[in-house]
Amino acid sequence: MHDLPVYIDRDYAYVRMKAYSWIGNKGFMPSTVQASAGKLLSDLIARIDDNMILVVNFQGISHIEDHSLHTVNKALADTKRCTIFTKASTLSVENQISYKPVVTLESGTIIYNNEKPSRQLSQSVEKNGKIEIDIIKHIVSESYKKFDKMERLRSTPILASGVFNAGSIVSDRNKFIWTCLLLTDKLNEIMNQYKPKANVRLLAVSLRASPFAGSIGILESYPIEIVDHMGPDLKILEEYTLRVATENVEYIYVGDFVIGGTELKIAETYAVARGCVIKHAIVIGSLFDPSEYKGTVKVHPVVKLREANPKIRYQMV
Amino acid sequence: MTSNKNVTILHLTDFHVLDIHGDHEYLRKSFYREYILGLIKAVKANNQELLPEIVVVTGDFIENGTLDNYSHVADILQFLADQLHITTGEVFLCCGNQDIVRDYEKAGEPARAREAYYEFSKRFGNGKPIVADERAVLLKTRGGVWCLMLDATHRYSGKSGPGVISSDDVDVILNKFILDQNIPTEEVLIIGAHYPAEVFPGGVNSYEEPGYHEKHYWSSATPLRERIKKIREGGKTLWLYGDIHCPDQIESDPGFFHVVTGRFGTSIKRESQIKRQAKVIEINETGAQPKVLTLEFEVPGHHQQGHYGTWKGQWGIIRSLNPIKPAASLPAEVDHVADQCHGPVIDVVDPEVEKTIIDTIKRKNLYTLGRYHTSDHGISLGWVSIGPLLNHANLLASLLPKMSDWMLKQLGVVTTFDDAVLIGIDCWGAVLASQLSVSTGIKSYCIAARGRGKYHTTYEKVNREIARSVEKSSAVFFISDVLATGKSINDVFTDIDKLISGERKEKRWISLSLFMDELNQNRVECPFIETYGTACKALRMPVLPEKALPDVEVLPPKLTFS
Repeated sequence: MHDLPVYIDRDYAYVRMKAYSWIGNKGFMPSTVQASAGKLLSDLIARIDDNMILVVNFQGISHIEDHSLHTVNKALADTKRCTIFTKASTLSVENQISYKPVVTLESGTIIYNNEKPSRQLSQSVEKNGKIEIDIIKHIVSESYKKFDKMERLRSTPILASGVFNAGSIVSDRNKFIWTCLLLTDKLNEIMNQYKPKANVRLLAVSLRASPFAGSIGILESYPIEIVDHMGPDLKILEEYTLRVATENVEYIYVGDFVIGGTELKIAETYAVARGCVIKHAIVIGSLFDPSEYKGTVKVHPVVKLREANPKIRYQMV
Repeated sequence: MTSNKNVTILHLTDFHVLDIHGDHEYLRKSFYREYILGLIKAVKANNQELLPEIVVVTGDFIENGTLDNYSHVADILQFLADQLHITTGEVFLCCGNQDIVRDYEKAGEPARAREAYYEFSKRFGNGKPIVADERAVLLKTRGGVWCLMLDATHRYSGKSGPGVISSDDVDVILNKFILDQNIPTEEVLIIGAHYPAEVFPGGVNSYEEPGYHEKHYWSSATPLRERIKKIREGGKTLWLYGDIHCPDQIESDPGFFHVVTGRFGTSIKRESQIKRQAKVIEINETGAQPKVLTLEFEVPGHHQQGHYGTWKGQWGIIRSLNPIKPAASLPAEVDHVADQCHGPVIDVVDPEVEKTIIDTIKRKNLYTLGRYHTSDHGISLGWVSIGPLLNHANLLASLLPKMSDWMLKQLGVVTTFDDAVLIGIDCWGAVLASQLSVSTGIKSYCIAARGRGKYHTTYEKVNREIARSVEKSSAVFFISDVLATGKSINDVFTDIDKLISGERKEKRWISLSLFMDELNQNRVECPFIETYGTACKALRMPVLPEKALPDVEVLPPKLTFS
């Protein structure tokens, strides 16, 4: 089995069930757990180090198909692994996993084989999402390519000590999955707080942003629009794509990294020219705090770039 | 038979078993098992998920009435059925002119002439007919497929050539075997006959043999063929033939497919350049065209060898003899009118998905005519907006599992995916490649090909990291939304090739696209590509060199035809 997306700490391993249903279902209905995803999870339960606690976060899963977790049930019984299911309270997991001993916390968290100090861990996982922040910081930090000397960025008149390359995230399947899931969480945060018009569409305007927009569209069933391209350089290579009639669309901009925000401004102009609007931008990372980007578009980064790599330096040309 | 079911048939013909203890027949006692195991291996290599579930053999099992050899032929067919994991009840036979005793036939004793053949054929599917007489046998497989095995030697009289079928015979076959049995038009009917009831244009054998057509075409069966066409209009009917050793496959009218396969046996002492052959035909009840896997036994050297060789297979399509349809309907219909000779064989990842794509384009009016640059010098006169298409009814998500399965089929059975790499070309190619990477675990890269990277950064172009990854791989997939001229993949290949240093590892280059018009004549040669796969090859996107079009003042680039 190819390596699966799992975050390993000293004494616990952390996974998102949605990653496994995305892989197992081959992109189709990733919010539904089918037997293929159950099998991936049961393989993991059997494979990780004996003393590790496994934390499985069911965020974003809306349904578990009948009999899909039977292999998980068997793996729990065979391995006696302490396993914590979080955010699974509405999914009737108990209908499929009959294995005991089990403890169900008030929060809905389910703990199997509770022989270890897992309550504290489960609370930690649920409360602050620190694990996921650590994951994304690590991924973004590794995508950084340092220049030999300060160089001017292609998109913005700023000198930089290096660049963050989203292409390197795309080319690592597991990093890509984690990043897409966290971008999806950002999108859902926006959608939960804000009532957009019905006609919402994800907009990507660069090569390296397109795979992320495509993934979020598949994970959350949103339509996507891709313009090739407005960033880092502006050069519309298929001007006839602009001829597709569009109006009253509320775009959610999906980007990789926002430094000065030039690409975002061009995208905003594009939206307005088409009788549409962008109010929110979800990006992997931004250089500045979202409040510092002036304009009508609110930026929602998964991580601040300086937190991922404190050594980066930027200066005006 | 349930609707939309695929039926996969192995068609063999002309065993001509004569000297089973000699050394000049592939089907001799000491060689037939190797020969068949090689065939099955080649079928699996090309079509691993769907082993044939039916075998049809269109006659000439033995050479010149050597009846003792039926026992050996039965062993051959039993072994073949075992290897395919089917019973001999799924093996259906037709009588050929070599299978009968000519002297009895000449003496006016046709039943006696075929007595041994009937006994032999009863051991197979023919033994449990729905209805049978001296003209034909109607059978139905366990999976519910109808098979009508005709005796093309009926009223043969022992002369050279096919039998004669009278108008009474035609009436009987149509009424007793088809209409009385209520064979639904929407269900596939397979008809087998030793001699072809349809003429295959382009056959060259007639140059070599005087009176060729009289000897090898069952022309008296023309009224039968035409009346079957009338009563089965709108359905799918597959005719299978042997004898002429001039393999071909045509669609004579919509839904009427005729496949002739080359000989499977025969002594190698007979001087001939024609290779031993078998065909696998995959047919379904949807609008999709049947696919044909042609397998040929390739022998090294100048001459046929009696003891070694290798089966090799290649997928092809059935060429159409249908009149060309009005241009207005072309974009909206699944109609593979391509002649194989005009371009590479293009594999459709899933016929159902192709149909859905065409239906969506039609329903959402997504096809536009105009002047669309596909490369610096290539212009397509038709275009589909990919975003609105893939957004519709979750088409992207439902397409991905099919593309993923197709890719894995190309890779065969592997234990690690580190040995392959996906290269997503331009934005939509990058989206598709990244999703395929999620489901398969194969590493993916996104590369800007439009404008040859003039408008992109170093990290968006072919670079050393990508070249290194390609260098280590055994299979490279180019993933794109539209493969129009092929210039983009050609450019990317060239750029990668320049960066590969040292000894080059042998690898397979495979193209997988959302659209690839099979009739496009203006494609750049990409000899490095081994296999082309696409979700849709039926959509016409006529590409012309820019210089072949009138000036933009005459045909403006943004002109929309309504």
